[in-house]
Amino acid sequence: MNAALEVKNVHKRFGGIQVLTGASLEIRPGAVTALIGSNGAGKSTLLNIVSGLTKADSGEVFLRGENISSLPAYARARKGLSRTFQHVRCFKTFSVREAVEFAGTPATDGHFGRSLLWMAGMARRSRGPRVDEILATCRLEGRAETACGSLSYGETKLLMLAQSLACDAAVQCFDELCAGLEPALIEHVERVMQDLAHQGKAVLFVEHNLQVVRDLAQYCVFLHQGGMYREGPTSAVLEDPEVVRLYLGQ
Amino acid sequence: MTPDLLRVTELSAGYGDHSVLRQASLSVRAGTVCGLIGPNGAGKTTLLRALMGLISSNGEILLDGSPVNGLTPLARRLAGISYVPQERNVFPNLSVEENLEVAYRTLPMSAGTPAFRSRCEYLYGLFPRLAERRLQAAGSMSGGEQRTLAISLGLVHEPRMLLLDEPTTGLAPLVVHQLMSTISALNAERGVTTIVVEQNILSLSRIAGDLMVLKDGQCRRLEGGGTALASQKIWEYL
Repeated sequence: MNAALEVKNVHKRFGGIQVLTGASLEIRPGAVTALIGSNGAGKSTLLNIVSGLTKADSGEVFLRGENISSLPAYARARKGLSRTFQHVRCFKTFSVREAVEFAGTPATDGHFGRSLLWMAGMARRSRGPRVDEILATCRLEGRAETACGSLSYGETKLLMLAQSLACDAAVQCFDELCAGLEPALIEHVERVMQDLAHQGKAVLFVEHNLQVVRDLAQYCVFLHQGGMYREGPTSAVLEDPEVVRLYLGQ
Repeated sequence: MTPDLLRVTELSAGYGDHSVLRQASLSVRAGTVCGLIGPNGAGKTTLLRALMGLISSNGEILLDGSPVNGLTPLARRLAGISYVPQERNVFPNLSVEENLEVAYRTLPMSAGTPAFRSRCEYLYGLFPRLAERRLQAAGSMSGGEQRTLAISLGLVHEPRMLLLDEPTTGLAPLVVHQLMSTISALNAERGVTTIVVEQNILSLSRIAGDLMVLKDGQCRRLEGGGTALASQKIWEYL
């Protein structure tokens, strides 16, 4: 089966620090893949390169077979790639409904006029039922008219999930989405992400909560010192003695 | 019986018309690590922010018997309360060491003194990764590294009462073990009284002697502390 997302031999240096040294990975459609590694291993940098927010020094990124390495982030989003961020961010004065509608709007190219058109509401016609469904899926239906800035940390994480669902991208990446969530909500987020895979989406997530990794991921990639160190079925990677020594501890 | 370092009586706080804490009362014994758990949105962060004076509140807050209600956040810091927020609050364009210097200068002491150097070395001993990154811009470090720096900023002046809001968020398992050991060591060796808000129940149960549950704006003690936490299906209970 063709990879939904493929990263080939990516290198990245920030000043004197080599963050990625030949990182490669393949993400399959209809599967959930976990990306794990120590703090500073380069996981978020890799997601930034995949989503076009950071330019790699060398290496290539393919989305459903197409080389997207030179495309800006908005163009990658249009082609079916979405991501959430480790550091929660939202439009604080938007209502939750508006924030989800905005995410569901085809990505603008940063053109000021087109952004104004969106702000004027021209791009969000007949999105109501779909947004309502997403809000219910993410347990935010009771907060639809609440300003995003008033949400708790956990609710903001759910909003990020809702925005990713609204994008409806073929490849969806999540950066530590479950961090800071209570266990009951984590279980719910797991179910939503599993549903995405059942719909044929490719799901890639960065996570330190190993229970989530075990519950959710069919495949696991362990990144160490900027390069792929182990990859394969999740249980095999997590039981690898070197992964235990370098990442899990006793 | 160990005396209380912190005693809070009928504390109420919220945002606009939204009431979060509703006459919550709690006490924390001196020299203990107290875990604070509750569902997302229950008001755990609001409680810590109210204790630090970052949001207005009604009710009484006593630190070692002295009221701190009317004090500014800086004055509360001078009184010995230190708060490490859930978000990584670091200065992204400053180096690790410059971040520590700025935090050190918030109190009337001058950086560059032997005392500051000694404090830096102490903190680098607690978090060796920061020593490796001491000249690196904080914003260019990983999320987990920024988190350990944020915790260091909270420790730069030795606090009497340390408030940690989900300190393990974004940290690798090995680093979580190390951080929890560090919190235990701070408590055992330096007597730093600590409130830890945490969703990571397994890690919390290893260090928390006392445990409180915040739900529906009220706070109550869970008898049995960390041991009870480890043995109960606490989230089903909640």
